Amino acid sequence: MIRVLLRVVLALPLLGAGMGAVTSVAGSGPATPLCAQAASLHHVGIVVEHGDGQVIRRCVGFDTATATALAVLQASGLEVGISSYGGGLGAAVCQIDNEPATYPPGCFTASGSYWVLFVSRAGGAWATSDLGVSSETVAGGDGIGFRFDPQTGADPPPASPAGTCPASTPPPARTPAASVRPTAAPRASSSTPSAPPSRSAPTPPSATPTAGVLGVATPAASPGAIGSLRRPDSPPGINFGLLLAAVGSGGLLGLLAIRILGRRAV
Amino acid sequence: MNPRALAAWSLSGITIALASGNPVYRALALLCAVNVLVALRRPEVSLRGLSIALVVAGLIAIAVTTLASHTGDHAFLVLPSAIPVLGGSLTVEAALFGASTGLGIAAAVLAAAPLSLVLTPNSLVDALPSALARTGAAIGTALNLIPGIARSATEIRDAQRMRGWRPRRVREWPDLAVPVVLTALEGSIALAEAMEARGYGSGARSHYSDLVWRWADVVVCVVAPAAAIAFVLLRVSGSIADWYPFPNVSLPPVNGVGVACCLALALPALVWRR
Repeated sequence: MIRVLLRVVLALPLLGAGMGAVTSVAGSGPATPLCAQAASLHHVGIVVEHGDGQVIRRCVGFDTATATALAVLQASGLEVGISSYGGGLGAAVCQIDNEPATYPPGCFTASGSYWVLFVSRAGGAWATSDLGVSSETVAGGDGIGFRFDPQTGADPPPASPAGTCPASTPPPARTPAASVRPTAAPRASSSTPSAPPSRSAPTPPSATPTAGVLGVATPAASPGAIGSLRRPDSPPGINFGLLLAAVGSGGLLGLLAIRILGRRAV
Repeated sequence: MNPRALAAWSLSGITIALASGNPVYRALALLCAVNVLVALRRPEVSLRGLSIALVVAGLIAIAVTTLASHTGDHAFLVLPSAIPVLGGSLTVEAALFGASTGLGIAAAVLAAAPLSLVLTPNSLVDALPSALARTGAAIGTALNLIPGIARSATEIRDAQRMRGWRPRRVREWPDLAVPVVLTALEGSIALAEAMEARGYGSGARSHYSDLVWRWADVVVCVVAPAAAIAFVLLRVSGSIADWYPFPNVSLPPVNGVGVACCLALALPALVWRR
């Protein structure tokens, strides 16, 4: 009986690893972009308002009747971090455009700010969404808004989605994907002049905020190997606390070694 | 060493280990607790069992967090999403967060361990305030029964096997469980009668020698709680931050004063002698 249990316990991780390896290989192919071409039938505007007031606008096109807000957000090219709410709620947005710099596995901290999801139907006013970003669906002409908002107080909506996408763009002739270019509207008037280095590099402003904007559906590049461990918000130079911790750890380990060696000598 | 001073140190160590989710502070608290244990543990006490248990607990924390949390950018394996709860990306970030959690558990357990591995049970009961003396005696007695029950279970299992007992199904386990429970009840009743015969509970507990406060005890009793209070204040004010490796691994934020508070926990290993 015990041997059988042992075999099962040993076999399960191996089976899981094998299945995982197969899935990993199967999933390593290129992801199908939401909007492979500029000539998309439907467009959804995205408005992202950072905690410092910086506003980013994107217009994303897609050919299906509807798309999830998550797919649209990921297709916008902005950096996105998500975590599952569990159940039918779908996924929560933990991070957009590297704000916040880090987040707990459950996405939300006890008192910190979080990304509030708003939806605008057919050019209407913003309304907070009751669903997770992966369960919320949008159609052409809708807008998706995200605002990094404190947990206390009301949730004011982000800047208006009006003008983020061309008002009525007839479906243009299909053009090669290479002609599609990402654009970002200039920041709102209340935004700070320079973005933190961790954020997306600001793109040159177009002539008008909405001129000929067609979102690009390039999925975010997959992260490479873990390179720098430096925190994105940490200033350059020697971290005194870390240095003290290293020295203290060395001292404690040395003390421990002396104790153990002393006991053995006795 | 004074048991009350050691209790104050343990409480301070647990506070620092659990007040922040930052692995740097947790690692420092753990190192301090290990130093105190190695320096002051009773000569007959072995740390082997505790070490193994903590390593196992740490590995479980890493495994559970890695399998259940699919957050993080650097996936090293992708399980099929059809598997409930476990399906999804297994990430380096989740594994590191699990390691940090395991570090916190180990630090907290090691901070509490001197109460049983350094002090004798009777000195710990003696250190309790008089209002809690009876409660402490009852808890101490109950805890002392656990190893006795384990020994009894081993003996009964061996005896049953010698009679040909070979359990193959769960429903055959009562053959072992019933005698163990009955033996434990008999032992408890015998212990209660013995305690009553010796006058336990008839009046205030007398002491062979009163607790003595030496200068080292006072220093530990003042410095350790002060460090814990300072650490909590720094945590509340935001100077000491938690560490989350999501979505990308980064070095934990470290505050120099917070590190000093952790290092203050090593004081008993320097000023106390066994």
